[in-house]
Amino acid sequence: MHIVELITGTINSLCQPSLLFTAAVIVFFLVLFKWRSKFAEVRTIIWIEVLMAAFIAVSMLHPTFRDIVTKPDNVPIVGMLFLIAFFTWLAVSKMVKNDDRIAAGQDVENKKEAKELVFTWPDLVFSEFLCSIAVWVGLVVWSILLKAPLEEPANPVETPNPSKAPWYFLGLQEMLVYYDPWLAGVVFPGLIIVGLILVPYIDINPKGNGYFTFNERKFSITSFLFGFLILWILLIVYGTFLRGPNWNFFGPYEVWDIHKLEVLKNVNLSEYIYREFRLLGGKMPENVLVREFFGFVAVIGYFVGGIWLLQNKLLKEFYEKLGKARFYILAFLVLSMASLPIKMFLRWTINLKYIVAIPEAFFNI
Amino acid sequence: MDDRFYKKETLIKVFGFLAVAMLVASLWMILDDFGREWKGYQREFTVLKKKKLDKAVEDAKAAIDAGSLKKAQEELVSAEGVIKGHQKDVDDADKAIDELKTKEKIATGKYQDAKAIWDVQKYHYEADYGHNVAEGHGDHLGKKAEKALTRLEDNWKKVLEVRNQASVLQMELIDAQKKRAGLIAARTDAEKHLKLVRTELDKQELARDAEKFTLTKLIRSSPIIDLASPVFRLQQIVLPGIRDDFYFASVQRVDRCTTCHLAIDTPGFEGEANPFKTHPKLDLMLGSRSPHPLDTIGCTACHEGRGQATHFVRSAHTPQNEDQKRVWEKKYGWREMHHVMEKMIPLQYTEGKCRTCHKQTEYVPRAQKLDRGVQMVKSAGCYGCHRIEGWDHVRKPAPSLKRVKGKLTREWILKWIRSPKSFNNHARMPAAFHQANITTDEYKAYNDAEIVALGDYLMELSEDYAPNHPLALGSVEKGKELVASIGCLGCHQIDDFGQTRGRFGQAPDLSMVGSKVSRDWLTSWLKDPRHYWAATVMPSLRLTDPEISDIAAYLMSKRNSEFEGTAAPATTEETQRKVLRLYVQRDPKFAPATDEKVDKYIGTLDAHNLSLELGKNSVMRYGCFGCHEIKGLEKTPGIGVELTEEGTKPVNKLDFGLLHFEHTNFAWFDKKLENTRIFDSGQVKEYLDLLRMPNYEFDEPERGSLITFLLGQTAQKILPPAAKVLNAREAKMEEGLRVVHKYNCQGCHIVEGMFESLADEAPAREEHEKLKRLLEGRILVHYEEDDSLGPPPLVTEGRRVHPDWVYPFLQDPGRTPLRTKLKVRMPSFQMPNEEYNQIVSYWAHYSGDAEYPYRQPKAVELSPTEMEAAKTLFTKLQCLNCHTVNRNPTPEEMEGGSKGLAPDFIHASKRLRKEWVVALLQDPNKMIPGTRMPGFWPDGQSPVPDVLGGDSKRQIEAVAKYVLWLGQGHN
Repeated sequence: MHIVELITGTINSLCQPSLLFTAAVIVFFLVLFKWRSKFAEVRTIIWIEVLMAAFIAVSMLHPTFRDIVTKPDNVPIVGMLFLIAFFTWLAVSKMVKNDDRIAAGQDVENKKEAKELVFTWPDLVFSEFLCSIAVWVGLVVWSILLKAPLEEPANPVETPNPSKAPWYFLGLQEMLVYYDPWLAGVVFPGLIIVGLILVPYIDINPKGNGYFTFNERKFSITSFLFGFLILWILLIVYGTFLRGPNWNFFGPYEVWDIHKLEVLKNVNLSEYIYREFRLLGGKMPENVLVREFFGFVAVIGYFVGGIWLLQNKLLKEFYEKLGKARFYILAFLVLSMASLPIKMFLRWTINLKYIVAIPEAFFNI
Repeated sequence: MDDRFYKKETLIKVFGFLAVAMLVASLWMILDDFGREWKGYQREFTVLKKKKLDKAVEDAKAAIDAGSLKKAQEELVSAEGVIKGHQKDVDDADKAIDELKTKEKIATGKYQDAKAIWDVQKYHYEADYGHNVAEGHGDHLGKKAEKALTRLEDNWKKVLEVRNQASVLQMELIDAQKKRAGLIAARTDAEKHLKLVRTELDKQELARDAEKFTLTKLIRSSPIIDLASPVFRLQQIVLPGIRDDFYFASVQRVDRCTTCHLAIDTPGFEGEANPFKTHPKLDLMLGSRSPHPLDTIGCTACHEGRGQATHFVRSAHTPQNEDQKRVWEKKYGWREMHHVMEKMIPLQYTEGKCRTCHKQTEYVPRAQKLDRGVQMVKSAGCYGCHRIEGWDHVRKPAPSLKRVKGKLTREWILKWIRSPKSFNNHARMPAAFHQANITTDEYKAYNDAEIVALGDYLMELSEDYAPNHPLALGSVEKGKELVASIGCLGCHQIDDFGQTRGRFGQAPDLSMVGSKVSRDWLTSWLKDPRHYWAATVMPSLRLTDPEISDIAAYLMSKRNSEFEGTAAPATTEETQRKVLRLYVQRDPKFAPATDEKVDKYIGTLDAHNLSLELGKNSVMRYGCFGCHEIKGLEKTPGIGVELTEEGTKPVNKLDFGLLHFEHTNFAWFDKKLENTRIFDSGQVKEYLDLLRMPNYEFDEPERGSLITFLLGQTAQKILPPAAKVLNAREAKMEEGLRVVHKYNCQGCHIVEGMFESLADEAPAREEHEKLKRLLEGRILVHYEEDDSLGPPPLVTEGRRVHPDWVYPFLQDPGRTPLRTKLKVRMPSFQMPNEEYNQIVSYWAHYSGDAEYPYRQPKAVELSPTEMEAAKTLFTKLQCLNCHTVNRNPTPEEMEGGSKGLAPDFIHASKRLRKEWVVALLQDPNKMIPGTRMPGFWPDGQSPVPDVLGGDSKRQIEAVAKYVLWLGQGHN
């Protein structure tokens, strides 16, 4: 019994956002850059899927875990995890194969598909038809086995706790922990959509068109997968499985106690500067712009400095290849994306609430 | 083929596999729908119903008298024989009828055609010229119009002609049919006789055949086909007055419970298991002639639950107890529906829901458990601290403390506050101190400090009071006898006479009162309760001084020596300072409370003022003023949460603390009422953050009643016809009944219209009657041998008495001794005038047929014949064995006899209505159930046939008149 508690307790604390997120980022880069060819082996994915299944199966013995995972709302997300793992593996393994072929001077694996045309009928229509049947069967069986998770009629004065967005938006909701609603709810989603729309205009690299490759598109694949796997899927997992009442963090084996309290003492950058470092003798300036001066400097500095750094050091070739307009847009998007994990780390390490905090005008960054 | 991207064989294989999967999924879908739980119940019910119907047919068959059946059958056979004799005539008649029928059809067709054509012509004429005629230009229509009119009139003649031809044929046909009927009359008669014998059987057979599960029905109810016109289908009731509030829209409620509860309003299935059982109270609920028909009330109005669901679990059934829960889990896979707000109320609390529709009355007839709850709320005084809509103007439940100094000693008050139950186990007052959440010695000391402070504060606030009627004590024995007989026990209870009404009755338990009050206070109180407390409802029993002495002697002998022997709670100045400090630190007037400021303030108080200041804070914290009148705090609202909508408060708004048990409101109420401080357990709290609701230690039935009450306090808005709206008559009755309750008339009398009884065969009768006894006529417990020695029942009172007589009687019953033998006294209540009127008005309206408001009693005159007859009857029927005429019976007469039990006739004329006297003489038991008065004219038969020709009506009339005549002072 003690061992079980020890294990569950350890897993609970390892799942802390700061720890798990950091670990995920590290593993992500290690897999892509260091362990890519190992990851691409068939037995790797078999092991991953089996271990995931085993983890879930064993954890089902724990009532809290079982309740959360088997909730009809959450079942598709569990399924999604297996699919994500499989398709990521599938892509990476094809990348590795093609990269090896390219390195050996051979054609890529599916050259024909990539270079030549195929018929709409039967190749496309018939396979689409088959897919539609498969989806139909899946939906029917699913609806028989799992009843629609209906809840009580929505009551505007009595919201459920935790109030959760639909599962595909839980990543966005998780962002709300770190950013002001107008950023996390409006600007970031807008940037995601705009950024995706802009991809074909910014990405003028003709390689990898119609076939999988990593070596030829390192930056594009890494940045996309980081945004998708870490900043979207992982946050959905958080929102679904690890956020309980009052949006508090709960380990997978922790009872969702509505009374759980966490110390929430977040401090704005300006407060740090004036209170902690006693600038002006600890007195906050009356004028908000003066008060938030350092915040603005930090934000503008981040973007200006970041762009300079990308332009002159990190993505120098890109700047040359893409031209100014494309490159600055790309840099802005990349820096915006990076700002999320940066802010998360700042929150975990120094309890930073807002960099620019002007609640008087509902403007917080 | 090679240039195809996918391999054809693979695609076909995949297609084959998916096609099979699709077929399987489709079949599964169909079977899943076909096998839905409720369809299973309906199939099962078909079999059950068939059994019942078959049995009914068998029973009907068995009930037929074999002799009369045979006779009827033989009659039919012989009739057939007779008709065979002239079969040819019958055949001819048939043939003639056939021919006539054909002819008549043709003729009628002709008439219909002609009429149709004429109608069209008429329309055209009216359309063309009718408007002109209507507007007064009929003279200038012109030639064309005249022509059209002539044609119309001509055609009408033709139509009439054709109609006449058809009528002639119809007449001929009727004649022919009559002729034929005459020929076969014997058979028709025989058939009619046979049918008469078989009436019930035919009816049952018809019912059975209608329910027969035919091949068509089988096909209609098979998978897939059952989507068209299913035999097994959802049953639903749309409820007109009950709306579901979905926050953004309110919709009529729909109950589908009858989809499985198929016989819920059909008698005959009482013995079946659920869901096929008949409702156990069909006379009250769901029956078409009951006050709550199924199509107005439905099911969920009382039981709650999700009416639209058709699945045992998803309709949110709630088990009554752990055992049932286990059975359900096994049988139905029951689990709690977390997201359903309107879960079914467990059966034992269902009565609470009566309140949702019956909002205008204080009590709901026949809802005994709820009524007991209402009475508990009243007596325990829940509404003192918790606001409950509709209870705002009820008088405070506990005695006024404005003159408490004159009644109680400081020491007694301290000991009582510490633990009311240690003084008297039947004390109503709850204990606010030394409860389960006071665990440390420090907090216990704080509690004592507050008790002492409360005592000091109350004594300080109290006005002086000097008893005005001190008397020496008399005989304990005589006092005991008096208390037992004059009616004290209608409201109070004393251990010597059995503590029959528990803790929560109208008035305090007096078993220990000798240790509580002083002799002088008691004698003054008994003499005139209003001298000490003007607003008390305790009436005067018109006691003489010797009686007061005796009763006081008895009551003063009722002591609790153990309580007297214990020391009063004591405290130190230091502790009191500590506790006051806690209060002051939180006092907004001192915010922000620095130690210096607080200490300085507390330092200025001397020991006495310290105690008073703490007392003041404690009174505010514990809310004593909710129940007691305390000077300066008369209008301060109670300290508890409002309970008006407690029954529909979301469960997550209830603080379960650190306890783990069933998350339902009723389970929470139960825990809270059992131990009001339980939810503090395990929590770390500051002294002033501890729960403070006093502890009543309610026992299980008491908690059950209170939970029933609470679950009825809902936010639901029910409209008529589901909601009960009092009509003018009922409103008047309710007004009067509230007065009746206030003064506890029902403590002594059976009051009609209050807590009605259940029918003898009702399953819950026993429980029902037990609860009823807690509510009504409880003094009668002491008159088990002969309840005619107890207070008379107030039944048919409105038809019985004249208001002009009642009004002065109620004001001073002592002036009009009606039944001299009764020792129990009708008290003088000294109510406000308005309340007397409300009682009288309630009687009149309850009886319904009594003329109201007032009618002068007319002087009666008897004719000499009547006078003579009445006198004879009076002697023969020995009326004066029990009744008297304008005199008190002698003690010898009362001993053993019935004299003095029946009213003196001298009051009859002013008091009684003649119609009532007549009705009483006809059937005394109907007018006064359980009366000793014998019925002399059973079923209208006269016992004295030689008076007035034995006409019972005239005899009764004469006697009634004579009684009233005697009341006019004649002898």
